[in-house]
Amino acid sequence: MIGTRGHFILLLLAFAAAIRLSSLDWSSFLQLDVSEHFISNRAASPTQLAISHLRDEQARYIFFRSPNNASVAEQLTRSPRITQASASVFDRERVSKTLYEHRFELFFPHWLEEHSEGSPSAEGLARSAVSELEAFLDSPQSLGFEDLLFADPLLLLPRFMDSLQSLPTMGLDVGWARIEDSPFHSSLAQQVVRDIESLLAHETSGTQWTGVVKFAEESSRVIRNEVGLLNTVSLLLLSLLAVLLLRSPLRVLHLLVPVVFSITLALASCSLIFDSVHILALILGSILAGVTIDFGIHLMLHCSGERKRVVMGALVLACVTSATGFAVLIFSSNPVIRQVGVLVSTGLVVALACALLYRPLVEHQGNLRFADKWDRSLFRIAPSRAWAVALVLISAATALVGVSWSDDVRILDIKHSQLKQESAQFTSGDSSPNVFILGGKELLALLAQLEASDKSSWTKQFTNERNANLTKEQQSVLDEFPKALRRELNNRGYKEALFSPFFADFEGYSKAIAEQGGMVLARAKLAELAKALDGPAGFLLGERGGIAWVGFFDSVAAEETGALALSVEPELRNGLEPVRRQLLEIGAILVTVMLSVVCILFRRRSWTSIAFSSMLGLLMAFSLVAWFGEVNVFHLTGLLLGLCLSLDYSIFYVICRDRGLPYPYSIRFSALTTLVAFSVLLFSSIEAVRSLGITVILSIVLTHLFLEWERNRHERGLA
Amino acid sequence: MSKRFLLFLCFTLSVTELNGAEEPGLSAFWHELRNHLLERGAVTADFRETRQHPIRQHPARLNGELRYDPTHGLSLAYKQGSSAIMVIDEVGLLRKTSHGPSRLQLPDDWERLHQVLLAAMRLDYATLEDSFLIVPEEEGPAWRLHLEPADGDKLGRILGVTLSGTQATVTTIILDMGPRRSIQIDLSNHRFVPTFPADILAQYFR
Repeated sequence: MIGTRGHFILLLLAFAAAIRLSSLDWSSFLQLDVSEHFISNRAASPTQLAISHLRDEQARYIFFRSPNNASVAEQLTRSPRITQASASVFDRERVSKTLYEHRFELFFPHWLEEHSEGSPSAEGLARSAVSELEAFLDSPQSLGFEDLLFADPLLLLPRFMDSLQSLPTMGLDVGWARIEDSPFHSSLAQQVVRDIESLLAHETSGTQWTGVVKFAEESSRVIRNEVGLLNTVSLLLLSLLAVLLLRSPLRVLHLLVPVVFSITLALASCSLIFDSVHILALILGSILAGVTIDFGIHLMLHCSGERKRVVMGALVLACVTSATGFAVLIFSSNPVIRQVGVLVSTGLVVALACALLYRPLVEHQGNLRFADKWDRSLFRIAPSRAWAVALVLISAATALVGVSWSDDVRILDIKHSQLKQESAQFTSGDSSPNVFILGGKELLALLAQLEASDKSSWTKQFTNERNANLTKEQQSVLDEFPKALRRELNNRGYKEALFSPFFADFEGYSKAIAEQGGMVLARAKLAELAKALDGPAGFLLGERGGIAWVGFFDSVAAEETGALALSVEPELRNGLEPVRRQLLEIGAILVTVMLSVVCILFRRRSWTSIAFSSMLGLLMAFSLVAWFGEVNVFHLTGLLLGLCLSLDYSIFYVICRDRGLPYPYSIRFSALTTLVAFSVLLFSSIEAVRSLGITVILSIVLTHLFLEWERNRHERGLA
Repeated sequence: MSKRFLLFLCFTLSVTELNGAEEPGLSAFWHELRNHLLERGAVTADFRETRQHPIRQHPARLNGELRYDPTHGLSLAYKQGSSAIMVIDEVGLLRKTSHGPSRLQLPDDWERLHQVLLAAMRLDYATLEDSFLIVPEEEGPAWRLHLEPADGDKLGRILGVTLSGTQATVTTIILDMGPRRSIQIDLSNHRFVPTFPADILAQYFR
């Protein structure tokens, strides 16, 4: 014991850690997007780059519906955190104007190509055009289009409108707003939601709104509450247990010193190493409370007289084994697993150092309440180890054969049932249509690629890279076309003069195409259209930073063109697979390293005891988990934690046994406190956290049963 | 002219705000007529639609079967072209073809017109009076209800809607949109049922 100097060092470290933690910007330090680091962020191809940009954009939009959308949009723009708001999904006036004014540049080359099969003539084109016009006028769908046809007898816009039928619509009267920053990377979610709710409080009732930010805010709130609640309940239960069994509240406070100290310093260390810490790492890190309290318990219950050196040595050995195990996680390529590694291994070392330096733990020695019952043997019989090994190996083999893995990232998520219901009301009839994105360097090329897939798409009427430049033959036909069309209209009895808006605009287009070329014209007008498709509509067609994209809803076309789904769902479904593989590898290395260390440090009789109780407990825990459900990476993480804890208990027991000391009942008390701490996780709303809790509980209970088996055999002289 | 065109392209539908109002002071005949229409429930009738527009040399004539249900709205099953079914209900305008249903994109004033048409079909005087001056005419069993927009700008191109009928049967619907711009729907061979069976609702309505 270092005494006063030790306390001074502890105080100094605690002070530094407290300053570090209080200076942190927690809103940016806490990474609240649960899928972050579990979804591939590789953006090698233009499509991936476009999707990466659009996913970021998607998170920034909110959608609303109100009896007065214009007023809501105006209210929302008053928030400094909202950059833009609009009363409808599309800026209809702007888009309509762009499409109408540039209808020739955007659609005519495709029309011409479609009507130029064989050897086209101006007369032939005019005859087709007027025949189609007549057929259209006689069809039910001409309703409402008649006025437009004076300027568009070629039906460029009605044909385009018809192709839009393939687009799912978001619903009636939906407005949108765009928030300045991504809701995942700051405390913005909470502020934005508060802003919006307060701005909408002035609006008429019946205003509904949804958006990723709302989900992010709820996740953040639920997780924050959960972390707070789990830690508080865990600490309260541990304290209650300690007060009941350790008799003195003061002893409980002393036990908590290494716990608080380790959590504080581990977090401060993490903040020095990582820019941000994933919320999951923090939740996993909170289990330090259950693990680190053990150090104080062992010291307080057994660190006196002849046991002193033995207990300290056992603690150091156990801590080194566990910390080494977690330190291995630092080599993982997944940042979250790295963070867990740093957080827990640092916490364990700090907790041990604190427990050894903090003198009251040794000075307040004493027995547990009901001390005579704590070390009683659980079994009266102790069959051969071979039976146990055979039983567990058969169980593990059957479990492995039938194991079903779940790699869905959404086990990390909150359910959000209410919010999902609210959100569903914004997609009328079309249940979450899957948007596919095709990215590239130029819109014209993308449109050609989509057209080549020969699938129905809303883009099929557009000018594309292939038809934008008119051939010489087409150019000469084009020069004659207006005259031929006038003649044909007159011949069929139409008043040609009524179509003067068309002929005036067509003349302008013909001149422009002769001067600039079709490609240049189409490129410029598509860029204008992309600009007009503001807000969420921009997902359909857009350009930014040298990357262009087109969005559509045809999965067959997506497969043919190599487009990718905008939705993260497919990636979420298998997002944890690489992490699982990595954890299995890490687990295998961890078991090998730890058992090798144990083999080196202990005699054969001792290490077989340690391996028997810890490994069989873990294998049986895995078997039970695999039998009764799907196994996920958090079960595996739980097994890793269970391995460290099991080894701690086994090492502590075996060292005491080999030194001829009585059974250290602090093991049972420690296990009880750990079980209490992990049982709290079973009440989490996050499946991943529950998986972790149940696995650790099973590991601890089963390890103790095998440890008891071993102890019984030893006491009967069978070992 | 071009300003009107700019209104043409719509990507989403809008719903007219037709706020409830006090029942206008119509004679008992009109209230009884409405009650009778409601009592008769759903109706199927043959229709002949005549569309007039300056662009057309001759009026376009279309025909088919009309179905009306006070709850599910109006359905026009055309025999021409792609045998499309146009569904007009509170949600908007839907076109059903062999390729499946799709929402039809029309200019704003057409959307409003459809909502007016629905209100007219159920003789919802209170709603209609909010946007129209109601001119009722009755002559024996025949009647005619003419709706003149109270505010010209408010309903765009709709200059008038006229419903004619005999007793509790609507026989003609005329939409007036200016000189040589009109749509007239003549109905005949009415078949009344309390409600449409589920398969008819699924086939002809949203």
